[in-house]
Amino acid sequence: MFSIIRAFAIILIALLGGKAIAYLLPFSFPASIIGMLLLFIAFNTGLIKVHWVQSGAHYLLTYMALLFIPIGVGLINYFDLVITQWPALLASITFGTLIVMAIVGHVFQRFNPRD
Amino acid sequence: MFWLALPLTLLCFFSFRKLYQLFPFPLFNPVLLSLLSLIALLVILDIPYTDYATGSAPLSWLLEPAVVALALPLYQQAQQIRKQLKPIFIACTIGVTSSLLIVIPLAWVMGADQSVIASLAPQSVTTPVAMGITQSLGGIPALTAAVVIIVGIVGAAFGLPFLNRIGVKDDASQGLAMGAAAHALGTARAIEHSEQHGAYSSLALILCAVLMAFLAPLIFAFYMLFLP
Repeated sequence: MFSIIRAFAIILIALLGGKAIAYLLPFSFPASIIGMLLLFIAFNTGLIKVHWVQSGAHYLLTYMALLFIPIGVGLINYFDLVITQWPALLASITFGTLIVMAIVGHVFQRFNPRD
Repeated sequence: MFWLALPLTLLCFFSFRKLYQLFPFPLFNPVLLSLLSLIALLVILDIPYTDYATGSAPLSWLLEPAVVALALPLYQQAQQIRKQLKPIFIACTIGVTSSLLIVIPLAWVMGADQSVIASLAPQSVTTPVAMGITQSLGGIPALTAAVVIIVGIVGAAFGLPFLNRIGVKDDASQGLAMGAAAHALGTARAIEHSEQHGAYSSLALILCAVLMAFLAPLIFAFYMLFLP
């Protein structure tokens, strides 16, 4: 239990740091990504030991997909837009996603030095 | 409904997750099935979304900490990734550029109006970044949030079988492609598959978000010169 509380506390501190930096930036950038970079730097400098965070982070990462459901249900408010503009939405979501995936996968596979 | 929102969401997700473990077909994606069931339930019982959103808010609060936690797989794979920083950067830049070059004209050809095009443009990056970009382009941030989630579901559900089919076989390339095209939901799926998938996916998630924030306004402005 202690290890989970410690892990969440560290993650929240990194997130708060991210929020503070995001607030100071002259353009809008997500605080959570700055928080991730802060935690990453803390791991690299040895300020935070990986095993302090491991247990809590494990739960968050394992069930991350669950956390998107409430926002996704918000689609319910846009039924009228979906009904009038569904061809454009469907085309860009499916083709856009699969083509980008194919391009990134193949480009990286081509340029990636084998070891 | 307020107090039922959270238990119902958990019940949906964990039962569909069990179903997916028994029958791992892409269309049995737990997030997809949970969304469809919960939306159907709200519509049938005529429950306002705000009630559901308030009740399920604890899950949304954990979204930001979960993104922070991605530092862990990133750190664990950092040695390996450092050697490949240049190809990773090239692949992500080409990925973000091609996403914008495909999505904007495609949506236009299919008859979307300008605010919808602006809402679709940043569809491949993580929700908070995409919503910020949409706002600056004059789109509808809430529509972007929904579109980004669907992109994530499509990527998470079909990504790995699709990549295998088109000959992208190694863990690193698959992870990078999942993160670049399907952001955090793709990453969530990638982490389930292997730690290496997860590390490359979270790297692509970060890098593509940053690149999109810079490139989307440029390319969108360029298109607006030509589109009526």
